[in-house]
Amino acid sequence: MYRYSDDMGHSGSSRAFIFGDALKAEYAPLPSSSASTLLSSHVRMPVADAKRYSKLEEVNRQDEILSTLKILEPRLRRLAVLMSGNAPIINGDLNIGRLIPLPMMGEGISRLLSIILAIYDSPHGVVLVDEIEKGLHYSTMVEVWKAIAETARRSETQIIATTHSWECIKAAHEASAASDAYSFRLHRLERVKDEIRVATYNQETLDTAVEMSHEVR
Amino acid sequence: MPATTQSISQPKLLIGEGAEEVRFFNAMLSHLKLGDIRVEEYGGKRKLSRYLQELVIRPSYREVISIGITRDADDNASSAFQSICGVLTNIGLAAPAATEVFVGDRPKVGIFILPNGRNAGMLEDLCRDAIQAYPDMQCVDEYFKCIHQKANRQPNNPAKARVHAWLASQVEPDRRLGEAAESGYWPWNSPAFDSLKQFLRSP
Repeated sequence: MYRYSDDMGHSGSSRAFIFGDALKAEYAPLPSSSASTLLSSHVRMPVADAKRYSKLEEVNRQDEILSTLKILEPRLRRLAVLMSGNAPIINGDLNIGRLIPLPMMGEGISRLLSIILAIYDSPHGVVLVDEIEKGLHYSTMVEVWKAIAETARRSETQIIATTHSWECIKAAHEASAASDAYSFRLHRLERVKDEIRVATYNQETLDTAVEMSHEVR
Repeated sequence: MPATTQSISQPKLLIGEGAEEVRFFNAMLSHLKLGDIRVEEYGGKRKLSRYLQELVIRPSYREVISIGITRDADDNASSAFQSICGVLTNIGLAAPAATEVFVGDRPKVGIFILPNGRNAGMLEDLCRDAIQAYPDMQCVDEYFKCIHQKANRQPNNPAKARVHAWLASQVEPDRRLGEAAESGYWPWNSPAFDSLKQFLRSP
């Protein structure tokens, strides 16, 4: 059960659940006590990011964000919210004499920033991420997943992400296997006649798939 | 590990313990012109359960109509067969009552215990049986007799030792079982292979 708001400002509530090996979903107008956030794969909302970042900076937790973003941009020294026209934009300091808007540093770092901020903004809730691998280089994915998982664990937030990327799935599995408690599940949805069926991989079955390079998608 | 991910691309699946078995069976299937069987390895008898647990959730598994499981008998063919049946039951797949018989429906499941469903041994025993009548196998036997006399030792797996000694005597002396199969070393028309061929044709 989750109440969500997307980057376009739309909100609603639904619930989805696995029933046997089938996926069921239905609108659920009941109120939810947990905050949830939907991150679309194709719409960026830098203003929403700036607002979320400001809330973190207000309680002096901005360095937690910085250390995560350094996975993708080691030169990054600090973040700052600057006005661009009438809109606040998060900028980064790369020690080149002036700050640069985060979106100009690449899709991956903007994407990771949005995900991490959404997690901080959804404590005890759910963050839904569409095409989570988008913009992320495969070589950084394990570290990115470790950062996402650690942030989610601290915030007690569940991440539900979609992907078509084998590298991304493998990275999530490896990152979770390297943690104290394996907390990753892969649910593949497949259409069987008129139903959506679910195949769920746990650590052991994903170990086998990775070891033998079996297709899971 | 292959560079790309492997999909179940055929309606029939034949699984063996390791990479040598995959090469061996693929060569045999090619000889038999059976093109609708995909051969995979499951990583040895201790990993069969893990392999099957993952198999049943793989994409396209619903399209699989038969699974042929092969395994070395090692010390006891009956124990090997019962072990596989136990794994199948735990996974929820049909377990046949006897070797070389397919049971169930989508997928049908059959088990072949190497070398021949009855005897102790392994794939090497089957290959040894197939070439046992070759004249040069007498040389191999004499070689091991000589080793025994001169060095007072014998290999603990005579069939394996003889097959590899025979392979080492070939013009290309470094081929293993699977590569030897691909190179046409094994006489597919030998009666030793009959029950295995029948198993491959049956599902």
